[in-house]
Amino acid sequence: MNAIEVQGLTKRYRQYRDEASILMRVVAPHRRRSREVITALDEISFTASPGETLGIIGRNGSGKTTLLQLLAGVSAPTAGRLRVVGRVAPLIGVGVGFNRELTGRENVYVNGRLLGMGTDEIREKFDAIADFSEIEEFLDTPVKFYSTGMFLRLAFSIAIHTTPDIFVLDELLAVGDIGFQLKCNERIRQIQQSGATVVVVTHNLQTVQRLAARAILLDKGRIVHDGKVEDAISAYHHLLHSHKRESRSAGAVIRDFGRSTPLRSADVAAVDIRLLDDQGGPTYHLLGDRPSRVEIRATFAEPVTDPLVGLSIERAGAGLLHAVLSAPGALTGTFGPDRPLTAVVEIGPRLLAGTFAARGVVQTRDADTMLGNSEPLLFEVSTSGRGFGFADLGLELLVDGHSLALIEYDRLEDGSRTEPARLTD
Amino acid sequence: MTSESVSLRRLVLDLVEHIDLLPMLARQHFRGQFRAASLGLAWSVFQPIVQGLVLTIIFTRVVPIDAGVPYAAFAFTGTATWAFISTSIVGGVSSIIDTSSLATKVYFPRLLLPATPASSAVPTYTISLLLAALLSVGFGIRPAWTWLALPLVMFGTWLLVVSLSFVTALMNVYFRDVKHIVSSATLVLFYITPVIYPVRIAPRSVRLVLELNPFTGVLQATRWAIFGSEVDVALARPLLVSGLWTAVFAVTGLLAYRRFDRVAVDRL
Repeated sequence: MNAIEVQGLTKRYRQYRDEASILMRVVAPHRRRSREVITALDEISFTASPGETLGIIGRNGSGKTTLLQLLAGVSAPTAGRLRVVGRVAPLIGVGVGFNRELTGRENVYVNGRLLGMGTDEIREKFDAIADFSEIEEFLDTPVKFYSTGMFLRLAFSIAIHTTPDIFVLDELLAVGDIGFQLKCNERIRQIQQSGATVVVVTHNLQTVQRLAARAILLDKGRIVHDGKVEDAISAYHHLLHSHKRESRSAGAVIRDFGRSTPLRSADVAAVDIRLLDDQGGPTYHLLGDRPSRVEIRATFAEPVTDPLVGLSIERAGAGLLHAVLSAPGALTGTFGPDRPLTAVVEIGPRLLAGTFAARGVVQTRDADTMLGNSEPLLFEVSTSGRGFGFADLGLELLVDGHSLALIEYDRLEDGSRTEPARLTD
Repeated sequence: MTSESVSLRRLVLDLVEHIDLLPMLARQHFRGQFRAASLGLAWSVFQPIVQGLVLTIIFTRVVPIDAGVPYAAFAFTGTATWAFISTSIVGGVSSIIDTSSLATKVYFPRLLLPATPASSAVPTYTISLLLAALLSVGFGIRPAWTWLALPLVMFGTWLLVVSLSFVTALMNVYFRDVKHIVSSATLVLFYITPVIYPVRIAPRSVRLVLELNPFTGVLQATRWAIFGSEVDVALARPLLVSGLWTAVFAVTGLLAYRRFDRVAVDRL
């Protein structure tokens, strides 16, 4: 028997542009209120077996949150069938119902109850929750005096100690310092091993990939992919690229390479970039410990002499990581409609796990006019090497002249998962 | 029945299963109301006391009213009860909207939300009524066995305002001006409920309004409980009217939540 069975599930909302008013109904009963029907979920069907971990990915507005609300019983479907076996802990938003005036201890009880634990169960687990949060000494302080970090630690600790049959994670893991994140990850692994069905809904592709073998990609309320997580992720990237407007805002890649005045721009070159893996095939997904290449291809509408070519790499949400531009005169020759320019940028095994965006650029010889730049190419790096962050800067730790081994985070080798590394000797 | 509805059985079972959340939510609500004031409870009792004092001065010195008992005792039972009624229904109408961040994330029976403001006002209500009872003793009214009925009267009052809030809170989700209609209506209700004057002295033209008013019964019952046999209050009929209103609101509420319990959240 399946843990989750969803068949033809549809959810429609009416969205009104103005607030509904009884007064207007009385005064102007025939005035039609401007409204539109939004189909948040459009006849989706899938199942999850007990003990399976299922990822759900998709852009904003793809229906992820609606699906979560339906799974958690917060809202009811317009049509279709939804069968969920067992107790669901809906962790949509951590710290739900936290009251700033109450103490940490009191909030544990209210929040735990809201997440489906019984009062006795909470009492039983209280010490474990307190211990996990690492803020025992502040539990009798009102939450309003907590720092954000303390607040989240406590909220996560409660959420993670629920023992439902179906565990719904929503953007859960990206909080706290590294140590705390590792602890959360381990706890989630325990939950997975305990046989609970886990549904992970997140923007964070890394998280999905680490936790789930199977993922569903939602777009505009429909399932566009249901299968291996790697395939779902690359389908997601293709989707991002097919929606140019969205990908532009998602990329927000700098185009002026740090200049104080914006470049003049002339629409002369069409620039296209591709990411190539170590086999030379196009991909949106890199293993960070292997070298890879970006191919920049520019076609010109009119002849251009000695252009500059470059590439910027940005970490999603964190700004520019690195940009390079060829020196004036380094590339000579005249390119034009019948002579496109192809350049290859070698990326060393330096990037750590995360989502990145690359953008190719072509400028005039005097570097003051943008001839063309590409749409940002979003790609995912899924292997973390040594340390934590965006890129490996080649740091070495030495004691008495001897180099120390470093913790490696979430190393993935050829798709196989291993436990997160821990400090052991 | 669409797939959005839930069965009445399911609704009631959910309610029973989650009923222990009500005191928790009420406690949160209470703390939230007096966040900066360490004397929270004292302040909440203060308001009906001041109101009672002002009324006493007006209706003993300016326009004397014969209430059958010392007016201060009469006024204070009225204001203590009215403070509970008005804060509960004004808080109740926006209760679902106010907790949207909670309601959109986890499921619990939405019926608990309209019950929260009234439940959070119970400590204030209890203390105010006890003070009213003590005050009436101070004015020479002997404690009566009817005091024992006070908890029951309070529960009835609670049930009435909660049932009313079931209906208004849900309506307010779909029509956002219900909140304003209810708070204006509460201002008017104050004058057509026997808070500051006894039913006995109301002119015939207003009688009907007083008799149909759902709150007349609970006020009469409160005074009967506190003053005992010292004052003759018409009780049976107003109480029946209050009970009928409670039943109407409660049944309407249950039927409405059967349909909207799981989808009201879509409009938050």
